[in-house]
Amino acid sequence: MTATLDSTQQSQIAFHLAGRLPDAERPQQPAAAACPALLAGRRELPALRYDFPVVLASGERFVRPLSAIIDEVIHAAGTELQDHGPLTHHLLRLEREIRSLLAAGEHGTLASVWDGAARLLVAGGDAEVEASLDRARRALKADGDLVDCDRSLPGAFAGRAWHVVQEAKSARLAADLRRLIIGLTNILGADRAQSRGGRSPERLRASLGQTYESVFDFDALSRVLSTQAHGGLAPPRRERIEGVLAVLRAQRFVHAPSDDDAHTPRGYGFEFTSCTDALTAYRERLPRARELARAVAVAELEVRGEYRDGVHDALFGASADDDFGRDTLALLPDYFVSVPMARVHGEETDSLMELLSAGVPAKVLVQADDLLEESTVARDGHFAVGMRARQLASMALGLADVFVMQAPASLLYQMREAVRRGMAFDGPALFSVFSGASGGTTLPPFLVAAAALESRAFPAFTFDPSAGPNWASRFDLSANPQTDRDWPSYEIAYEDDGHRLAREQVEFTFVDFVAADVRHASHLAPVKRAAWNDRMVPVHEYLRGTPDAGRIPFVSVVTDGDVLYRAVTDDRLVRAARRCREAWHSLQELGGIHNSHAERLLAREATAMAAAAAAAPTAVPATAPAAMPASAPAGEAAAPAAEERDPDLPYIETMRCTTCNECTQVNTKMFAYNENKQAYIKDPDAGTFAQLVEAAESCQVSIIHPGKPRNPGEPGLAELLKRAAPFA
Amino acid sequence: MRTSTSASRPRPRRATPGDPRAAQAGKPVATLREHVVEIISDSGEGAQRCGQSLGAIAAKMGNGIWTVEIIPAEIRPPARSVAGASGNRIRIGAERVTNGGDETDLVVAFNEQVLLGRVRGRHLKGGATILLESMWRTNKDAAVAASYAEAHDRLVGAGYRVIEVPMERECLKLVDDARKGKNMFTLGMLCSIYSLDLALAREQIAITFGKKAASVVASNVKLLDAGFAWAEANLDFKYRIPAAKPTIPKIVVNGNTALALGVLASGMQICAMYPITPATSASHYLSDVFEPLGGLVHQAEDEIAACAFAIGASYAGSCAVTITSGPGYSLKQEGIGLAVMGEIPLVVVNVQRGGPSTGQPTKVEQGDLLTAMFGSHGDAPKVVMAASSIEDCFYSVITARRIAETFNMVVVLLSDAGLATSQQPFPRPRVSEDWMAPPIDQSPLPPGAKPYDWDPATGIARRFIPGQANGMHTVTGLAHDKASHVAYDGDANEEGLRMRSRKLATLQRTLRPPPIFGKPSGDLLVVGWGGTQGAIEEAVAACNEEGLKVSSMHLRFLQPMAPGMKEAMQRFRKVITIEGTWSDHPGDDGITEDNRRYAPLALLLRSRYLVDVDCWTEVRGAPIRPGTIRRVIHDHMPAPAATRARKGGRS
Amino acid sequence: MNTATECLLRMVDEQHALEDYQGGVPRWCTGCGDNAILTAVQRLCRDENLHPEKTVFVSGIGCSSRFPHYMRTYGFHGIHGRALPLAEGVKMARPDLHVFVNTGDGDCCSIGAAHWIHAVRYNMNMTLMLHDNQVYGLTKKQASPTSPIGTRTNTSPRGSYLEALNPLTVTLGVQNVSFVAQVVDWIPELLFDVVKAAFHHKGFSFIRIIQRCPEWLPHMHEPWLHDPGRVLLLHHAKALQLSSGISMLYRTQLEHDPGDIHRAREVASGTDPIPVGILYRNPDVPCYEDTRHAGRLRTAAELRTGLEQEFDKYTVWPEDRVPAPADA
Repeated sequence: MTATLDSTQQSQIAFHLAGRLPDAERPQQPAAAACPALLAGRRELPALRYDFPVVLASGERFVRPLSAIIDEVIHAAGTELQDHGPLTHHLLRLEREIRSLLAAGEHGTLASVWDGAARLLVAGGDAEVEASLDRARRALKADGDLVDCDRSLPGAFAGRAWHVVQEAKSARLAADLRRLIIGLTNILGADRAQSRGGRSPERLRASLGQTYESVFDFDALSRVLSTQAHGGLAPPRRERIEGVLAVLRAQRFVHAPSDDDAHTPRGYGFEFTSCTDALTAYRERLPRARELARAVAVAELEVRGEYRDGVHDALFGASADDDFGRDTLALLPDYFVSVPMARVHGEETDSLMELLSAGVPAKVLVQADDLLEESTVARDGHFAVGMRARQLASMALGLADVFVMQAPASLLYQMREAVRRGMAFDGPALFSVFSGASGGTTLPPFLVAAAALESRAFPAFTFDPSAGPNWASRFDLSANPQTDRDWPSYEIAYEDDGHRLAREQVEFTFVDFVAADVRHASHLAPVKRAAWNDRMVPVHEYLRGTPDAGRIPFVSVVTDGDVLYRAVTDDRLVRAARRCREAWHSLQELGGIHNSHAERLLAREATAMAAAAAAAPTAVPATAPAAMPASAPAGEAAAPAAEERDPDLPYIETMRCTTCNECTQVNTKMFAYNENKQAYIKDPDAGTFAQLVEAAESCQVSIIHPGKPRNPGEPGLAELLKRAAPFA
Repeated sequence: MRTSTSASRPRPRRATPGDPRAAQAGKPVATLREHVVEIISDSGEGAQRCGQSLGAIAAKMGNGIWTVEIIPAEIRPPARSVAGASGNRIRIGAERVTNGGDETDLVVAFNEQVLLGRVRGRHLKGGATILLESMWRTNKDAAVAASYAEAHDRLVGAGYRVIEVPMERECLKLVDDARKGKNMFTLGMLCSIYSLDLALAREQIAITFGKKAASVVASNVKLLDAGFAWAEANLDFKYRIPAAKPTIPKIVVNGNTALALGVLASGMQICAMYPITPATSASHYLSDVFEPLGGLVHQAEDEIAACAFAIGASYAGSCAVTITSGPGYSLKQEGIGLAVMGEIPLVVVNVQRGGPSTGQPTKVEQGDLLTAMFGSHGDAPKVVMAASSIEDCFYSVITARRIAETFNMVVVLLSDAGLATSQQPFPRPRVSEDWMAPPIDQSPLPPGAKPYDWDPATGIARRFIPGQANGMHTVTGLAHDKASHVAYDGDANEEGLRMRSRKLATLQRTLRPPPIFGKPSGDLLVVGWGGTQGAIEEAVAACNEEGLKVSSMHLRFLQPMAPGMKEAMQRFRKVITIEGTWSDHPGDDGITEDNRRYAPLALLLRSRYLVDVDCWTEVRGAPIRPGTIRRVIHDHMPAPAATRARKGGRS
Repeated sequence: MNTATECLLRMVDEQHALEDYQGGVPRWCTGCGDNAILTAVQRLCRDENLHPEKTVFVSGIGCSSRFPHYMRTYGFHGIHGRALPLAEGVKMARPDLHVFVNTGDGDCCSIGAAHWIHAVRYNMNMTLMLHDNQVYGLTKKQASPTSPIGTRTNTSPRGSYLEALNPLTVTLGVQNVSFVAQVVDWIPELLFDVVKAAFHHKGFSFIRIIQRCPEWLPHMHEPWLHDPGRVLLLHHAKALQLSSGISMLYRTQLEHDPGDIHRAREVASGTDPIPVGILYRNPDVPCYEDTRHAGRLRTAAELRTGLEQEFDKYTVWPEDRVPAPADA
């Protein structure tokens, strides 16, 4: 590097350090129009086929990209055509048309927008086009709200996912409630039928057909049957059942259709636009929820006929521990809150944190539209942007049993399963989503969101406490590009002034992201190729090295006319980029990438091993122990452990006893059954040797071994011993 | 068109002048009290549908109707066969009609062979009107043409009023396949003949073909109109049967459908069956509607399994029904005995058919009374009820379920092939949830409770159901004591028999004496049971008009028998049962008072009440006609004066 | 059903001892194999802690069919050959009950053969134990369908005339068979393991238990009884795992995959050595009670509505127009 600076370089350095340019040096092109070189190729989105717009429907596949549906329609409609060509061509045109309609602010269901677009296409009067579109329209099965990647996407997307999960959940609960209500009603009904009241002449008359009115003497019948009336529920039980029944019928958490729909109470709402409201509602309903949980448990026991007053009264009594029904509470619908980042401060922040930390079953979507808002508390000269949205998610991570997801809207479709998992998560969940609709740029929100991801300004991750016991299984960073690098690196191709195609490797940094935002144009000074010089280094390189006054950091931007500029970056922006990189590093560590502890440990091991190797060059590497020990099979006890047994003592191979009662009939004091009703010798001295021998002989499976005589004085021993021999 | 008539034809009464229709149609309209109409064809030509539609239309107009299916024994008998008549027989009356009535007044026949079958079966009234498809006269097959001509002439000779109708020709003007069109053309003719509301007829067609395409309905309406127009133009007679405007909703179903509806209404959830004629159509209907309403029809591997399956379900707390006919009923006997011994509630429906053995599967008979009461070995007391009308088929199932579950007994419900296939409107039932079986009792039993802790006064013991705590025991077909322990000692055995028998006595004490139709005393009391009630009472009423002192009594419970029967019978000089089964005819060769076999009910009444009950029976495969019964009554009126002193009729 | 209540239930479920399942004192002959079966079943009930009031043993007629009397559960001692249809009715009406069927070779394979075949077809969730002692006991020694040809009995004094029927191959011959096992009464450990496996199989579990009759055929099984080598133990990771004790005693073993129906049929047709273990198991065969939606809930109001709808189909309403002049 030459020691002397020319004036251009001086002013560039000056700008870098002070963020100011001599007016003379100001470039003609307004930086506002600038676009990070990497995104330049993508500005014309509607022409591209990608994940958006999506169609939000109900059921398993609650979200599907428009392009996927179009492909499906092409396939379905084209089956009986020998040449798909024209149809495919026309439908792709239709798809483009739909995209541009949405870009122009159109919205509605797929069907409606589709028809709108189709009208425009056939306006040309091309009969062939009309034919294919008609055919396609008939083949179009899917429908639902058509949503592009814009400000409305996160709310619609998450809302739909929540709805799908809730539907299934509520259906389950409703079915359970119906079952229990019928079960309890039946208990009362059966009791009524048995009671005297159920056998009154009137009831009996009503219970037979008209043509039998004259056949029976219902008073006589009633008299006869009344002698049979019995039982009746014990008052406490009847009281309990009626009470529980009342609770189940009055509950408002799910719509459980009952016999008298007129009297089914109106259900609660569970969708909110503020954490504070959700929290209030939750608090108000909690007693009802607990009451319902308790009622469900009691009802279940009653219906099974397994409620034991002695045991259960204590459990369900008024004094009962409020927390027992946690699992039952989990059956109730979850709350859904969709709140814009802009509104998350003061009380709302407290409410959010309480929802999450108190384990309230709430699914909270916080939507950030702008990452580059200036921090209100920023010290002068401190470029504090994009912090709060990120901080939110990281804070939630600290709560451990909260499902956390952070993602730019552009990734929502790819991460749909994660979204659904979060909605289904048994506990609170936070979804922090950046919509990209900042308004600070002319780029479409999809690109802004994508850029936020690429530049690590808004990395994507999920933390799913239900996914496993440790961070490795719970934390997932894989949705980010090139996760092992500081910044993702790409090759760009451009024409140099000699109109030759040139290529270079470019890393997409935080600065590139900011460069697209007109509000921060002042932090960048685009420089024509003429003024480029060898002190200029790309921001990512600049950040790698130690700060050095001699070097000038820049990012490549493209302005209209596709001219490549180097935008010199001022120091505040560079520092922001460094902070952004640090934040990314800590995420990497959580995700197990370049984990500092692991690396330190590794290093220590390496040196240790080296040392060891040096010390004992001939040392044999230890080998893993071979031969797994065989796991003991069930009923090991079955193994006749004869060798340990005193051969003189009589014994029975109990495991093989077939409970045939032969031996027990010889002498019940000597032979007895164990808890499995298989015979063993209870007391060898409770009988004679003769009895042992007799039992051994009569045993069908010959498992009785008489051993040696206990009483040498027993008569006829010689003979007995001979008979006992085969059973030794 | 040719009309041949014979001198002896009874002329219909001329219409009163000023009859609006007469004026409008420009021909005399005879007003009738009732008429019996038959539409018969080879099977597959839709005569059935025509008949049912005619019945429905008449019913909607407020006429009393009774329709009976005419079913050949085979599924597809050869075309134009004498035994192959398939169709419908509709009795249309000015007032409520309670039975199929007497011989037919007017027949529409699609070919002469099926007609001959009906003639030989003596189903037609002398001089009856016959509307006969004339296409056969010109049939390519000379033999066919000849047999047609011959039959036609013989019928005319026999005094029938035969009118040849070119149905084929007329229908072909409208449809390609006349075979499918004749029935609605015929319906049109009949609407004209009986001055029925053509608009109602069109509605009926819309209902009948509702499931099919609109074009089908339209073409059938065309045929209807064509038939009507043809009759208006070509027939020189027209009738009118006054109708009382219906005031309450009524339902029109046959006896088997009524049974099935009764099963639904009774709250029973399981019907176990094995296919058998004529019972099965009840299960067909039930299979269709039962499952959506939380029940099911189980088609078992055989009749025995069907019975055992039902017993198992009942034992487990869900009282079940098994529906069958004669042969199947015989097969179920051992199972029924088990249910009796175990005191497991069970409803057995026997839709009787001709017997013994395979007998006459599609024909009417009431020959199973004794096997219903005494079938199964040993003393196996069970309740036996008989449905006496189509409406009664519905309510009897509800009552049977109720009795079975309150007395823990087997209840046998007897119906018959006649009720099974006949339709008669009856007031639409007002549904009562008290009809329905209560929920299964799962409440814990008092510790130490015994499953057969009989109440000596009634013989009833509380029913134990699996799932009830403290109730564990083993039901057994062996003799057992109160605890259901096997017991061979005489005392335990007799106590069981006594208590199972006592339940019948108890039930009997809750019954009312059967009402007497007609005066409570007189010369002759006709006793019947089951499907004959309508015919008997119609005949009795007619005889009363003639001044005969005859009354009738119809039994709903055959076991136990209602109280007060002996007294009722003793108020008459003579008692006779009329039953659709076999009994020896006094006077037949070799039949003496010593060896004469009486009809089942007569046998029972004689043995139980020591009253000298006579009997008359007929087993011709068809319902007994009121006219026949009138004749029987006349024949059996006791001789006047003389042996008045001796109560209980002659000896 | 939610887990909170589940664990509550577990908390308070009273544990049962073997004696709690003991009904009347067995009247079987001393040395009869039925005793071993009774013990195994009582162990099962205790280990699975079945509620006695929710367990039903159904039987037909014969020595084996006395079984329910000796259990302290609900029982149904039915009529000869009809245990299965009775049990099917119970299960259909009450899917919530545990249903077991105890039957003999005469009861099941002769007079009840039709029901046996069809029970396999229905595949209702119950366990059948065929107590097969190859002879009619209660009626005093007549040949049964499973008596080996030449068996001398009171109806075949010169030896029975027909080849014995093989209950295993017959059962395995039914298209949708779902569980077939065989065991002998003199190996109580395996008897228990097999009964347990059968109980846990969802569907119709058929166990043939070869059983000694000390009264009428005292020596029939001795050769097998005294030579463990003549018992072929079937084992498999997906079926029975043999304890070391058993493996040591019975050396003749075969690894048999219970999923292989063809192999199962081969093994089943062998009679010496006697195959013991699980021959076939297919958990995917649908159960009849499920197909028929047994135990579906309904309220009186629903039934009333349904009934009214049926009436509507057949109702003639009075407001129908009165006969008007035919408009033609």
